[in-house]
Amino acid sequence: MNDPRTIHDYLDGSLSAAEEEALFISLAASDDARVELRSQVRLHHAVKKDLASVVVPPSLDAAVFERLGYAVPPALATPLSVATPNHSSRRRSWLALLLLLLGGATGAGLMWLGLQSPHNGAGPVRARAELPSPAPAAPAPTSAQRIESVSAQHESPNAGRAATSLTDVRDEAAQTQHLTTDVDTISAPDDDPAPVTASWTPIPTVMISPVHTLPDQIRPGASIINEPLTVHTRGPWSVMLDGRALFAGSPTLEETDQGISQRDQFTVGVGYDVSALGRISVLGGRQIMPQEFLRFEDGRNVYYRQAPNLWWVGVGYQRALPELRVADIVVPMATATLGWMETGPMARVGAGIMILPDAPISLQLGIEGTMMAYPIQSVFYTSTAWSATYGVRVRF
Amino acid sequence: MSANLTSHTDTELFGMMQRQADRAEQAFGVLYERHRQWVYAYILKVTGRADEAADVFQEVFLRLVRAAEQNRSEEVANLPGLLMRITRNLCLNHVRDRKEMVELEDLHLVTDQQSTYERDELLGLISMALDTLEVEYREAFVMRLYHDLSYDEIARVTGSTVPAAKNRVWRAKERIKQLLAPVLAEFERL
Repeated sequence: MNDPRTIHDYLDGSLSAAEEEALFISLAASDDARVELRSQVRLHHAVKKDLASVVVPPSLDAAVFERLGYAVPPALATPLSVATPNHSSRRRSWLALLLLLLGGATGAGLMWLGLQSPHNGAGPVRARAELPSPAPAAPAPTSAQRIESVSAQHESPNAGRAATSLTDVRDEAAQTQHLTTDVDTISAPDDDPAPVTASWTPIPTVMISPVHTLPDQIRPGASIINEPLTVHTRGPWSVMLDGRALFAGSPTLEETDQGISQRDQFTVGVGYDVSALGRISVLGGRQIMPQEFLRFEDGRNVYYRQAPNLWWVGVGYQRALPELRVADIVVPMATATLGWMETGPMARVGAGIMILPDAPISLQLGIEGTMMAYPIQSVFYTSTAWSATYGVRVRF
Repeated sequence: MSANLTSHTDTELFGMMQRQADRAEQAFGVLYERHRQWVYAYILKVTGRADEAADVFQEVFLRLVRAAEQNRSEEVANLPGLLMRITRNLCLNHVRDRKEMVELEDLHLVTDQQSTYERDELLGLISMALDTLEVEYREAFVMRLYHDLSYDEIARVTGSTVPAAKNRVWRAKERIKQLLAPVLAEFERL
């Protein structure tokens, strides 16, 4: 029951329940059968990725409508006639990244407005920082239970081996079970009456959009998105070293003239990958935070404008956004950090890109908005700084 | 404009192309948007060449319009089926006229490389492997694995039987799996 044709029939969804059970037993006992299953599943993966990579060139759309003397529908019209599928896709990706950056800036601005105390310094500041929450976990496969029962029914001298192997088979079969199930459940639109010119069942129009109809395991986009974004052969731990350059804040370094250099800023940290896309890090370093406040001294209010380089520690969450990726090794990401600076609590949001060559070392570039609240004689002030960050990660 | 028609079924839209001159253009636009992707993917995979695919693709939709203009009374309840028949016939004409195939040696030269493959190169290998198949096997493989047609549908479109369709898909798959064996694992990393 473990010949390639049977496995093919299983992936095709044309085996009976009894035949499937027999196949699972065979798969559990045979390395060769599992290799064959994996090979066929890989071919299905490859085909679906190949299909997802096919894009109708915009020039071809235009050619069709031109030959018919029709106007190109707005949805198909491209603003730039020279656009190619790759270019337009990248343009969309950049646009999405730009929107993300703007969103981050807006969010930080709103946080700043919410925390900014009145100029006279009266009253405490109420901070409401809403940070992005991690994405919900993907639902677990649900098709493994039947294999469990097969295992229980076939206790044998090889049961120990089979049980161990079934664990592997379960995962593989659970994935492939999705494949057959979903292929079968693709249904034709039911709004068409009985055919007149042909009795052929309508081809499901959903197939033009395989992302919505194919199982996770062979869904091209999901497969790419869920792929670990860093070096596969390394573990989940990483260390980081970042530099920082303040480019917006009041007062500026030049205005304060305190002899502090941009190069004095840094971040070091240790990260742990909590998922394929998410990483939690413990971070610390120094950052320049512009400050403006009034302090009552010697019977008078003294107005301070300074930009000290403050020590800080915090916990950060970084999430990769591969759906916005612009190249295979360039992946956008977003970050959020909560921590404590020398003078008070801080929150930070950011966005940027990770450059992930197939090596233990990766690079990161980004923009971050940091807000800090600090008390001066029982009055809370806030400080905001926008920085460009650049750094390196080493995975181990 | 055409957004008003997007809720209509294929049958209704094709009916507008047949009988409502003022709405024919919009109706075609909606149908085109709805089906262009799979039609193009099918043609590209069966012909294996982007330049030929572009020609066939245009011809498919020209013939669809012509079909609507020439037959203004008969209702087409299964427009995807009609499109598939037009597409397949045009593809077969092109491929049979060409009568040339990728040499197996060429494919082996590529797949024997031990370097890390780029995404486009890997996907290109599938097209090359498809090109080594007889067109009957190629179209069955594309219909089943790319477009998820049932064997019953494949048999009807190709004018064969279900067992024959199954056999073609199986043999095509085995052949392609064999040809791509050295690089299939690389696809996992894409």
